[in-house]
Amino acid sequence: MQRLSVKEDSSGGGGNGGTWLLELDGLGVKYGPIEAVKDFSLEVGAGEIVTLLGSNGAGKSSTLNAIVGLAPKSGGRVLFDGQDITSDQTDRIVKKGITLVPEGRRVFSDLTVEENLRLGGATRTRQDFAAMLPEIFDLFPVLNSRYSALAGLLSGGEQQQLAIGRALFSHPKVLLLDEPSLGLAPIVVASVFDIVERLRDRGVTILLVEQNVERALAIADRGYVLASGRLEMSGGSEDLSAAEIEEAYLGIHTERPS
Amino acid sequence: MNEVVQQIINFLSIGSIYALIALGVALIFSILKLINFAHGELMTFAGYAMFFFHGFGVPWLLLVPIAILSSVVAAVLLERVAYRLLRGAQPLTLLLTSFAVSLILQSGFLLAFGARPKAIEFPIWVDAFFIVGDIRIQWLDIVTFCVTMLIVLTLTVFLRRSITGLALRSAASDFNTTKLMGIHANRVIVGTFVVAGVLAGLAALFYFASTPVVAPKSGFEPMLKGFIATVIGGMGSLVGAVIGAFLLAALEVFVEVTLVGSLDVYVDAIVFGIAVLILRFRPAGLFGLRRIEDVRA
Amino acid sequence: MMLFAHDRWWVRALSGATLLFLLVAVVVVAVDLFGSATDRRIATTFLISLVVVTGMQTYVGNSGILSFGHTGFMALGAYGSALFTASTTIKQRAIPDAPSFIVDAELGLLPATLIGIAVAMVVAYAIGITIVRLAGAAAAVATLGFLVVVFTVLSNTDQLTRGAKAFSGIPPYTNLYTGLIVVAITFVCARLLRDSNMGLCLRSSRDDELAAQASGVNIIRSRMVMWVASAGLAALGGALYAHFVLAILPKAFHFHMTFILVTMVIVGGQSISGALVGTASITIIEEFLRRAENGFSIGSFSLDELPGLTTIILGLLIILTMILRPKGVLGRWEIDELLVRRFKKRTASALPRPSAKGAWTNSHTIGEGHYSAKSVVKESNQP
Repeated sequence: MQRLSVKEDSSGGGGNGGTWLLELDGLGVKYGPIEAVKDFSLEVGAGEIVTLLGSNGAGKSSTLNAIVGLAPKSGGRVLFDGQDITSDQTDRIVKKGITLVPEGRRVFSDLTVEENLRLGGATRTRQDFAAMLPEIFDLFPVLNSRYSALAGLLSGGEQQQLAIGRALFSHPKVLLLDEPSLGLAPIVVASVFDIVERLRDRGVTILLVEQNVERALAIADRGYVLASGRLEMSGGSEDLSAAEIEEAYLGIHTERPS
Repeated sequence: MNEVVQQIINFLSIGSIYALIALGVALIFSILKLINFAHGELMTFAGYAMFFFHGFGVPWLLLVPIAILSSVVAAVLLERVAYRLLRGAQPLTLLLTSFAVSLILQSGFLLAFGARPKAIEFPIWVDAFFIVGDIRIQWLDIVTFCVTMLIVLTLTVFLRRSITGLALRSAASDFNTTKLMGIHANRVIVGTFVVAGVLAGLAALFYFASTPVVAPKSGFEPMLKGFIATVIGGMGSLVGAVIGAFLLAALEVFVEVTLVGSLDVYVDAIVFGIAVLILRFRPAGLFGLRRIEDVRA
Repeated sequence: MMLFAHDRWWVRALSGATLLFLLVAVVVVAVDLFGSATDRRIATTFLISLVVVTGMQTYVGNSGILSFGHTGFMALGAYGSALFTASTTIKQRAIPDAPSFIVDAELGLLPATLIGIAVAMVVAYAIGITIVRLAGAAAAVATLGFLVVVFTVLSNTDQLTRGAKAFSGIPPYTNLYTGLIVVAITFVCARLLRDSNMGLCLRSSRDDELAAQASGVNIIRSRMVMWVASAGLAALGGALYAHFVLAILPKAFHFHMTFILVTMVIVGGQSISGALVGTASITIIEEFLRRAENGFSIGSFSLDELPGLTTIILGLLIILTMILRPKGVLGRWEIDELLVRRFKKRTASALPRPSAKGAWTNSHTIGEGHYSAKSVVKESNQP
């Protein structure tokens, strides 16, 4: 395993002089006897898009779920804005400013779009919700036109927009996105990545889990690659080549010249 | 003709009580995947509370909130003491736990109050009636039906408009994602038990008004009826629970009217047979459609 | 040890059943030789419960679906056997209005028991068409409803059962040794069903309802076979019960007995060995509590009667089991399988092949399809 040095001055504003917004320190995730993530450290600076890459079962989703307290942590720490949130419950973590858009979108399909969005703002006041709504409609016009439709009747891309829009109502400082492009048509995938960039431009810090390596690296400032729950490589996105990552995908463990 | 109207009123009244029970059972099931056998004991508890406080000379108007409050407290305690230990366990584990809890409570009632049924003295106006044409209509039946409809309406508004209500509905399909909305699990679960407690308390009020004795096992029969209604309607579907309850009541009243003489002891058996027949063709119940995401997963 | 890990599944099954039976037989013979009359009585009750619980386990353990209805089948077996073995004179007095083929019949134990079992199995098949399609909560509610129906019908069919009153004059055929024979038959049937291909498929499906539905027809058919067979075994236990207590009434086959039997099923675990462990421990606890419940005094300290104490303690025991070992004391394993695993593990640890997945790979090395399927069950058993 080899770590490339982090580019401190990458375009998104980088490492913030030593204090990261979100920091994983030796995180471990265990489901019973099965270790999904081992001793994984990761940092996300304010305003960055950081992408977490890896094959199926590499432990990407487990990492995100562990950050928000939905997966059991077997070791290590999670720091948010310097504060230890390792043992906080999910709802506290969300209130502090980290929200996860889970894999497979997970909209509440028998609730309407409106009800989904209102649940997204469950931690906020009604006035806050009303004030935020136009902004969300601006980002995702489709949610306006289908406001009272059942979420289950939306298309995959629309559901993804709903899931992200819903997450924004909790005013996250860090948004965790778990494979937002999964199962979407190519043209919709492009728009999802476009949305991610627009969110960053609005000051939301993003940790993006993806299998779409090319596209993820194209918008990310930095990237981490996981394989079998361990960190394989990390570095600025321009330093991470598709070839190297492919190697991790294929699971070939050869010594790389530095 | 008069007979028909009389039986329809009878059906509405029985159906209302079943609906209140079935709603409580379905609500807890939809969110926690827990089939709460102790739901009947919540009713028994409310019954004993009425008996107990009436003995102290508490006026009737106060006994109504006492009955409801007592089953709410019992429901919340039940969650706190027993079910919380097994949160997130397999449905079968939860089922067995609630089965055990139900029997423990029954025995607790037995130890505390003895096996002999206690008469709950309801005021005479419970039996008050009015006459339309040749039909004698009991006020209690009317009140039971109207209050139940009001509760169904309130519950609908609560589940559609309030954040807690929305959270209950979303938790029913996806608990983890509900937590991601920043909602505390306890808010959802305790909320569920509070609502179930209110429903059980009201059901107890109407049930004991028509059968004014309470014994340790009083809750079992109405609980079983509520369960069967829930299963017919589709486990976890609230609309299904209400419709299942009225369907069950209709079946009961119909079978009872049709059967002659000595056969009427078999009403329950026949109704159950019909219920089983319905399940044969719709194993998930009438409204228990498989969710879209379940199929996808 | 060789037999328990034999290549042919039925050799494993039969040797496993034999091991369990020998365990029971040794204890029972010892009780017969050295115990008091009360001890023998308790041992007989134990054997009867063991038959019914093993029968229940054949459905519950293999399918993972709970049934409250087996006490109903037990009742059918008991009444079936009782009605056909009781003497004509008794029946002319007790149930003169019963059909003549019942009143006039004075059959031996075997044919009468077979009639009881047949009735139970036919009823099981009839309601099974629905029941085996239900799982979880719906199955629990439906079987509970069935229990209530059996109770209502038995206690209202006066001309056949004397209604709620006791039907007495049943010939006393049950003793420790008839009990042992029936247990032997039950163990062999239950174990063969469990280890057959059908049982194996059913067990590997029990955790994954969706997979069970995906594989569709086979699961339903396997469940049906298990359901009908387990009803038959429960009825067999019921017949044994009838010829032991000599007077039966519908109330005896209602909630209290269901509760005790279900507790035995749950506490032991989802296997035949589990049935044995559960039945034995609950029989002992229940006997102890029964004495406490009737009030006793030690020196100057005396305890009043405490009705319901047994239920409370057994209820707490269920909850404790659910918290500590939700799959029961023995989980899904038979004792002989545990022995084999132990043995294999020891031989494996002697080899220099330390692997996190050692325990799983080992069972594969035994070869044959059955075991590899079993290891799937084992994996899902782990977390």
